[in-house]
Amino acid sequence: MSLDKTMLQDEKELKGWLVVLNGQWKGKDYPLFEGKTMVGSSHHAGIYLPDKQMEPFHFSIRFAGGDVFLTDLDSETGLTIDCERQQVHRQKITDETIFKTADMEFLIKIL
Amino acid sequence: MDICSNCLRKKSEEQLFCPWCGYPDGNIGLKRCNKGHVMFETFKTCIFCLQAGNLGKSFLNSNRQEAFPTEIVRGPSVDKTVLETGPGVTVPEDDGPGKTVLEDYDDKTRLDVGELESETAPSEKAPPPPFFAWLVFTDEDGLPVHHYRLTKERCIIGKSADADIRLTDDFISKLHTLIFFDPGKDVFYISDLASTNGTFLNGHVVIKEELKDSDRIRIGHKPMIFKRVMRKIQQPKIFGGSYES
Repeated sequence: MSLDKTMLQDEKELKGWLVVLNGQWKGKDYPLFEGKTMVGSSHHAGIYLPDKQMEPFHFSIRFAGGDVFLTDLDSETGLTIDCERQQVHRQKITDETIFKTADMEFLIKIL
Repeated sequence: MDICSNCLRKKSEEQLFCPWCGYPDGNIGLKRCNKGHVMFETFKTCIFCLQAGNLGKSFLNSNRQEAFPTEIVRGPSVDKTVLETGPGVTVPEDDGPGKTVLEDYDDKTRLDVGELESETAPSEKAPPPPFFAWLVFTDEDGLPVHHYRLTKERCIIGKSADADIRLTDDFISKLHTLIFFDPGKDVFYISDLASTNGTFLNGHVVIKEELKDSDRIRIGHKPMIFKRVMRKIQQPKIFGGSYES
């Protein structure tokens, strides 16, 4: 990580949190802001989770106009929301939705 | 008829707390539990450590300095947040590594983190708390400014260095408000620590009240929102369990 790099970034409004429910990052929470947040094992992802089964850009969470969308970015393991067995590609989600991908479970808390 | 010693408004002599500002009557005594926590004499259990019984000597409310000594017994402060307003404020010199200092709201933002967050798995560290809860500090328009994850079962908000979340505001007491988690009932509570200006929950003065998701708290001039995950988390059905809503 280059610490001497200066970055100008627009201040985005906090919209919620992504909570990791199991796996090696169990108990961690990551803030989610207005717009799109990419999650994956790439350093360039908004939320960086260096897991073997996570792809560089695995899924994204978008806050747009009061709605929240969860999108699978063509990952090999896919996304499974709550108890639905069927995998989803893009799904509008609500507060405290739980979903599973790779070997990790997540919960989305909306502010 | 009596007069509140805090806000000087009229109140009944029978009322132990001022109905306007929540300030306790001058005749209410304070006591301590075994661990040295201070509470009102009328409380049967300690709101800090949930211990029952009258365990210490009582103090008169008029002698509050005696009830709040400097050597209050408290656990180690690991991760503290300091929110300070305006320019010219000073950060205490005893801030050690691992303590987060946020200075902001008006003209500048400074974030000092003692140790850079390592990329090792957190499961190797202390076990995560059995809850997910946050305090979101907002501006006057209700827009979020800062957020703070509650990681301990007891969190004291105040101006003192002993507080877990330090807020510098002229209307905030040294130890102003306690937010604590009852694991038996799976409920968060907010409790006012005999503060001068009171603690407000959804616009009303509170002494001790249950906290729910999205409750609005105001301490001094600092509005905040309490957020927590209400859903009980178990193993899903497809993996051998079921979810509860």
